[in-house]
Amino acid sequence: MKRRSLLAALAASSSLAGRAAAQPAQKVWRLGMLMPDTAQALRRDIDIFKAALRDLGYVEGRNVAFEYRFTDAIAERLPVMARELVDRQVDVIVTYTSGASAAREFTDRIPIVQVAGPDPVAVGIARSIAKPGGNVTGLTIFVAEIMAKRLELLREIDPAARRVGVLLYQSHPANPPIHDRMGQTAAALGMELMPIEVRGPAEFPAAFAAWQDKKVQAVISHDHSVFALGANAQKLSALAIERRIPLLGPVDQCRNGGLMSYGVNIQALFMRSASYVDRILKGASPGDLPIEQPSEFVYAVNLRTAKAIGLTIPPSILVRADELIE
Amino acid sequence: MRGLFLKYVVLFVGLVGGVLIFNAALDLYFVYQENRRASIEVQREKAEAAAQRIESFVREIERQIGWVAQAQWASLPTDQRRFDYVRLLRQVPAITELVQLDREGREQLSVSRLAMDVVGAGTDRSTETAFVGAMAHKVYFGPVYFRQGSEPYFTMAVSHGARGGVTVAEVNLKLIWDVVSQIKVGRGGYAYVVDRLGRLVAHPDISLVLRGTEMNGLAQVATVLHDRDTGATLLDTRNLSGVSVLSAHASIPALGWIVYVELPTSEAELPVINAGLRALALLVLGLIIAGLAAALLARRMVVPIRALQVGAQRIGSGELGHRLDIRTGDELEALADQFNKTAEALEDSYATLEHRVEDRTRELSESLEQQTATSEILRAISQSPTDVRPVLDVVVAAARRFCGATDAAIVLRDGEELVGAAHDGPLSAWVGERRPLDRASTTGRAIVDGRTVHTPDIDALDPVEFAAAIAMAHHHKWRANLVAPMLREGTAIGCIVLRKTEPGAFTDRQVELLETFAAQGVIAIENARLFSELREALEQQTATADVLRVISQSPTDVRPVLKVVAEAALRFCGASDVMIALREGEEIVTAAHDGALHAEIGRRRAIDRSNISGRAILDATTIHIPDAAALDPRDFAGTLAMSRERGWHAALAVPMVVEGAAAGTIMLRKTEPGPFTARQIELLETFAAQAVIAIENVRLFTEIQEKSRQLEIASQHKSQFLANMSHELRTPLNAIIGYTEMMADGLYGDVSEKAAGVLERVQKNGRHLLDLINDVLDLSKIEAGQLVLALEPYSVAEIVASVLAATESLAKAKGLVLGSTVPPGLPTGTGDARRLTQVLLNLVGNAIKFTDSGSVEMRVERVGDAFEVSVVDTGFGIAPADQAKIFEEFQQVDNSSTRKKGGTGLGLSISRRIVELHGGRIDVQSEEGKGSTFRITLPIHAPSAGSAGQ
Repeated sequence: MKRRSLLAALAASSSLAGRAAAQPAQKVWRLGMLMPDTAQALRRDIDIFKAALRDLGYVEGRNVAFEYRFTDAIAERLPVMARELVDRQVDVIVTYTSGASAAREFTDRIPIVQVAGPDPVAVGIARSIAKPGGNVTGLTIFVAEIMAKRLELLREIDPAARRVGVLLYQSHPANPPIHDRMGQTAAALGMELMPIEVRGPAEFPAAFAAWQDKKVQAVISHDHSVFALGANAQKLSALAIERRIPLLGPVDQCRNGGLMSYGVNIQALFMRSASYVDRILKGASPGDLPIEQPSEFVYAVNLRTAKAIGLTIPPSILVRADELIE
Repeated sequence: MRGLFLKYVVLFVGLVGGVLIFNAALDLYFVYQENRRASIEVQREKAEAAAQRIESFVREIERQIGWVAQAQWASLPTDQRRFDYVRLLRQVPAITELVQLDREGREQLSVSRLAMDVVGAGTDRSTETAFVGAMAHKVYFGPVYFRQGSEPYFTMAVSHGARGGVTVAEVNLKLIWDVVSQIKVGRGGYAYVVDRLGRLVAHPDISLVLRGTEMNGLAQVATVLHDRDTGATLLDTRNLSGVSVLSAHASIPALGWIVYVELPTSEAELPVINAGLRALALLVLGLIIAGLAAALLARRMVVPIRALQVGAQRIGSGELGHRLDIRTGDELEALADQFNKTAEALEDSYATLEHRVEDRTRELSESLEQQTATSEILRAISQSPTDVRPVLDVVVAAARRFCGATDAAIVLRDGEELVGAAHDGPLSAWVGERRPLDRASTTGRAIVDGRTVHTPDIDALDPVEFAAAIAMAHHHKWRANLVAPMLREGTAIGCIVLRKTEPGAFTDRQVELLETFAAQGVIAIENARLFSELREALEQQTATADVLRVISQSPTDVRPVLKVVAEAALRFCGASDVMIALREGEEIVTAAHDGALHAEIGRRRAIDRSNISGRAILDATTIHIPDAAALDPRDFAGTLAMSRERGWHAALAVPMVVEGAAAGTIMLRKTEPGPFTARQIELLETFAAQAVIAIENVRLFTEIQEKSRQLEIASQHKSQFLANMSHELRTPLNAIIGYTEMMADGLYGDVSEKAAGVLERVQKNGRHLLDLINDVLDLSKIEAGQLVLALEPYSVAEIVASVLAATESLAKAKGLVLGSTVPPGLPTGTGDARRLTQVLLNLVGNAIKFTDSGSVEMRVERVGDAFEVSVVDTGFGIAPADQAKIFEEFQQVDNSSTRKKGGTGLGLSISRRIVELHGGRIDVQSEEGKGSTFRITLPIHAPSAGSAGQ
């Protein structure tokens, strides 16, 4: 009988130990994904972001949940959706381009991670790059410098180009610095800029019509996803090809039919931003996380488009191209 | 059996557990050492590899730049150079900007990833360290800096040879992060790089780098930077977040940077912990197995032992017929056999033992009964300390019960007779009767011989010698008896008798027992005797104390004392009555009486030798008359007459002797003739002595009273005489002074100058004499109690003022300052203002008299319900020894200065009396040579019954 009770005690203790080893209930973090584009266009980038999060231990359905807000590139939706996410008290808002500024309007408490976008210091939502100080952090791209650099690139492929159209997103916070920087470069290169701010893809044809009226010889595009991703980018590229106008813009745009690109690797930024989310969820204050800048710049040339518009790309450009699309 | 089982198991488990624990501990130690060494090794390797990669990263950049950095390259066309730079940017992603400087340090070409390319700017950068460094050492590595405050960069410059200029590259170090963040050690391990100043160059947590974190604070960094040459290292340390880590490092010589690889100690020790857990599991498993094995073994041992135990228990509990059946074929079986043999032997011896026990038990119960009887007797003794009868009854009953006799009795000796004292049993006895003590009876014989007399059969005795005994036996119908004497100090005071109706000897035990009972009977009798003696002694002492108390309460009257003495004497001496008579001249007077016989207090008779009290007084000796009838009628005619008249037959008279003569007698009388015992005589003499003390006391007290009354009368006469005398003296003296005054004033014609001098002297001496007489008169009045205060309301201030006025001239004559301090608002006092003025005048007069220079001051204060009047002077003062005396009559401080000043010496004495009559007091404080202060404390309202002298 003694032995039996001893065995029973052993069994009981082992089962207790087993139960103790069972995992405790995990907190499920809620990420507000404020995306100023369509779900379809962003699928690849979001998948990359989620994969990076998974590598850091955040698995959807287990300890992280995503609240998506796609504006479908309709500018008016951005503040509304930003407001919704703030009201739903998500743990972190992940956004890009002007999303950070929009969300910052409604909260100075919920951390906002900018995947890519204008300099938060320049647009007034961070105190400094090394120590943002508020609830916004993440990555910034040198969009003004890059757009200026695209003018230089244009000069190399078409030294005759004088009148250049600039495609901008309406009321984008980065627009003023772009105007400044591009203006300086254009002046140095003896170019004339014709910027047009659009509210969405619907206005692309009108913009091109306007540029055609002004005998624009090339168009430099802003990096907004509406100009770079999916059907919108293809539509934009088609308009340029149709008018035999070189279109220089973000890398994704080039992949979707744009002529050339000099820009940042946006996928790398999505990947990188996962680590910001991770650090914030682990308790870091967004105000303490320095804003990073991309160190990787990509030259891309769409040879198919070049051929379509009858442009010969000089070898000096080809040697430096990271990506040649055929 | 549980104990043995447990011991086996514990021993086994302990042994196995100990070995396992030792083994595990040893194992763990080596695993720990090995693990730590391996971990450090791996980290160091990683650090070395990273250092190599960073070094090669830098060297690669250097090599790539070196591709364009040739002397003749600088002279190539701009497009070519720009193309080369663009290609270089493409090949080396880390380079953000390339600048070509000519040999004078002027900028020739600038190609950037973000900024606009510039050709031929011509800016002079010859003083920049990059240019200078590269020109001097061919290759220059700049310090790490941060672009836009956050991006880590360093400048690298490569010279194109002495004439070719320099290519300056801005290298983004974030790319090194790839190298650093790819380094993985375990789960929590990481690597980082610091520059030669301890600044963080690369770290998996980019934000730390972007913030420009200084790592000098870390011990491992500080140590390596500080002792770069000695190669000192620190293995166990803490990282930035304070977590304990194992740290290894490798340096990058080209840059002077150091790569650290660190692993949290907790993780590094994980294998050790795992090994520990494995060892623990093994330990638990080993312990369980050991426990089971031990349990099994122990069971094999314990089962037969338990059978042995059960068997032994059954045998032990009395089942001597039980036999063990153990067939283990070993020592246990042998043990069981031994048990069986022992049980057999036990069974045999048990039978004999039982008989012995029975006998012993019987004896024990008997002795217990005897003890019970003894204790009963002792209890009876203690319960009846004064009366021996109940004890004897108990003794008799016990003796009969325990000695197995028909009957028992106790006979006591009273002088030459025997008295039956107690009896228990069916036979007849003679309790309370008396018989002569002789050897004819068995009881008498036992008492006379002081031995036990044993008569198994009375009829077997010699009929002649024991005729009386045989007759008595027949009378009381007994055949055998046993008599034990009750001996006290060798003498029998009685005996205890056992009787049987059938002949037969008593056993030795019965004899012994009876002797014991006899001894107990003696104890009881002795106890009662001692107790009554003690009580009597105590009562006597109480009586004596009573007498002494009455003496002290009645110092003037002897009668109450004598009454108490008489009562006590009667109580203790035990007679029909007691009578105390006192001698008064040639008569005796009956002073106290107590008792049944008649006596007449105050009756007087002449002292005469024919009656015993007279004879006792005259001879001052005790007279003892055992039988009045036996007296010689010629000698004791008075006594005989008295005896017949009062009806007594024996008497005892003790004289109360004071200083050799009898002051009276104390006499006991009895109606029955018979002598008084020596003790009665002794007691009566004691009482007589006490009566003497009382008589003496009263006499002395009366004498003292008489003497003091006479003294008082004499003192009053003296005072009266003095009063009369002074008065008589004063009248003629007044006449002398009056006439002298008139003569000096020339009322009786002119007086010559010489005669005037004489008259003045007569006058002066006369006045002095008058003062003296007045003082004596006052004092005698006080002494005689004739000074009566005339109480009336008075004002202290007025008294002081009048004294001041009276003495002012005296003070002025001696050149003294005379003053007074009287606070306003003093209440009106009640007293004799004239006498108080006299007192104050006396004090101030004295002060002036005994002060030659300085001041005399009167001060008045109110202290509670009294005035305090002080007279303060600055005179000679009074020695402490004299201060007490000066208030006595005729006392003056005796020294040359006082003699010179004169005076009667009565003033202060009179002052004191007057103040005391007012219910106040006077005292003095003084220091010789400094002055005196006389202070009168005077109740504001003097008591009205003030009268002098008492």
